[in-house]
Amino acid sequence: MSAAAVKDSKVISVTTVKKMRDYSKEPVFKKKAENAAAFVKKNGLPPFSKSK
Amino acid sequence: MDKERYPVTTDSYHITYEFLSEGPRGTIKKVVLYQKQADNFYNLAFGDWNEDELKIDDIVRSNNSDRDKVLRTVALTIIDFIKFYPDAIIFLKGSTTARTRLYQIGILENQAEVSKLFNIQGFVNGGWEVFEAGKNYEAFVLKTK
Repeated sequence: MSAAAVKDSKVISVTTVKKMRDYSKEPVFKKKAENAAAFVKKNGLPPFSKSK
Repeated sequence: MDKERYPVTTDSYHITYEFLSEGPRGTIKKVVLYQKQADNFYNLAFGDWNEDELKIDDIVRSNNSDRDKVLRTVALTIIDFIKFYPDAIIFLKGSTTARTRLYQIGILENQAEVSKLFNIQGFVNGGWEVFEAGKNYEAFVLKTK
């Protein structure tokens, strides 16, 4: 979805669209996912996170 | 959440969110992506979409004079995301200390609303603890109450 399309959409808060660019393959985002996984592997998660 | 924020667009899975920051530096598309790491565990990834290079930037500072509005909008995406993934655990950590600090500011400025909905833990001095003001955390985890 182009920036213009987002800008022109008549949304007040959150609008759902059928198709959106797949950002999951973006190198920056892939790196973020790797860093998050590494951080949690090293440091664990707080106790509440283990309840589910 | 009744303060000013940007309209947000999301996909049908409520995993990806886009909004447009508007300010002195023009219109900048912001992207929030919830990356599934494991069962119910998601990383919040946030960056600017570079229309010229068709890629996400996360190091460049937008300086669009709308920091608080952007943070409130990111908070809105968290609340929308959690409606669809109520058992999700959301991990937040900036790509730099300054970015992580921004998340902390965002939590603090929306604390009244956010703390009603979420248990918030911060990572500091080698361990997780209940989030409180006045500490500089390295990362955050949110889970619905």
